[in-house]
Amino acid sequence: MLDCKRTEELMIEAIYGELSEKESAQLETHLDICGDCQQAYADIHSTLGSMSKRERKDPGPVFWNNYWGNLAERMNEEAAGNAPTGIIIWFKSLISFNSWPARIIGAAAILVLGIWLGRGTQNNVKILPDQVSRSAVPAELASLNQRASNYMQRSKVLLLGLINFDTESEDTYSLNLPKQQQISQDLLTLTNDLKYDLNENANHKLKRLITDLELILLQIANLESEHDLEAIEMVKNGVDRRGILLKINLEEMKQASQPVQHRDNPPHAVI
Amino acid sequence: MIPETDLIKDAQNGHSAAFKELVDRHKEKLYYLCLDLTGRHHDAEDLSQETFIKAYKNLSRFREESKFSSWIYRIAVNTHLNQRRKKSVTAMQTTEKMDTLHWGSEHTAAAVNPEEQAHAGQIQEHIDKAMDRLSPKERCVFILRHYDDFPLADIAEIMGISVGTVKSTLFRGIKKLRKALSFYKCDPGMETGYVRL
Ligand SMILES: [Zn+2]
Repeated sequence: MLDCKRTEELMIEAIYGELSEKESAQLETHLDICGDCQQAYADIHSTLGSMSKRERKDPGPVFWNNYWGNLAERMNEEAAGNAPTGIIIWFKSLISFNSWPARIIGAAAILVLGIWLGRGTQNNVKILPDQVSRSAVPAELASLNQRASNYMQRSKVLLLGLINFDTESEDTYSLNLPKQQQISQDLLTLTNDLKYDLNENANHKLKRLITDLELILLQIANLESEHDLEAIEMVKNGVDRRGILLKINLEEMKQASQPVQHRDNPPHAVI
Repeated sequence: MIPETDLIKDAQNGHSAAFKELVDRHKEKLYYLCLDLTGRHHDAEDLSQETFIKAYKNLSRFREESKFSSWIYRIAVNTHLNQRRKKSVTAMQTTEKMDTLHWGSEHTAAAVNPEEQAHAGQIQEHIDKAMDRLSPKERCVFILRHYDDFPLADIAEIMGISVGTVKSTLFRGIKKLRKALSFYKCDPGMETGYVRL
């Protein structure tokens, strides 16, 4: 004979269809003679019936489309966490100048600093750390491909946020410019190494796209305030005029058509 | 479609495209698990991202014997439980006290008009509130079994506890939910019948 304690366990298994025929018969026998367990079993059913009415809200297509971009961004931020903070503060202060000449000087300084930081932190600032040994040439090329792809993807997420921001009707708070500028700065630190490596591999088309992106990123990094709607419009127009998003999409499609490289199938240069 | 085992091997070798594919395949289920665990969109996004980052960092430790989905669920559940443990010991003590309560509406403080409370928009709120009465561990077990349809043995593996503990935790959790939702007992819109085996 079953006791009430053991019956509790069987009730749980029975409800979720995890009970054997033999145990099922045992449970039924006990329920026939035990009013308390019978009531408890009915209560469980009733409660679970109510709980099944629970609805989960879909966060929407924008969330899902940006999921990887946001995740990659966070991974990159964590990887870049070791950058010297004093320099970053000074770096940030450069973009708070108000006049255009000062902005140009700031931009130039950012560019120079970008080169310097890019070299100094190149092992830290990576979207996804390349864990493959860099000694083999094909792996290095695949890694370059990944770096370029990650750079484009992050830029794209950033630019989409800016392009979709309506300067006429939306609250500038929703743009979150400081965050956008931080991402731009992070990307700028990667630009020079990337361009250099692309040049080395004679991938001039992708290098030109990265150069175009670099200019846009510099403009974003130098926006003095989210209230400077005219400057924001200028950046948006620049993205549009240069067809940057289209070029990124084409590159992504090209890279997506490449099969994932296998360990026993060393990756080849695809860019 | 590339087999998952190949993607894992590629991701372990540092191919981020393979890892991206793994994320794409599992992001939805993981996000909803995190939403169930935390109850808030923002926290769910945060927890799911943290889970993927931890998975990425520990990919070399992943063994083929277990399913990748179970593995990331395990990371999510453990990360969540650790966060909760750090955040509030007091809140957990309060909910643990409820373990001694019994079945039945006689213990329910809320004397609510069933007709009023059964209003469609309010049902979700009541369910969420009922879930909030569970301890983090009870909530995890309940979610994994009831919403994510994991067998009891898999839940034991994910949470690193025995199957017996899973069952007793689940029973205790459902008791608490019953207490929180007991005013629905008379509502014809809810399932109340005694279901025979
Ligand atoms: Zn009994």
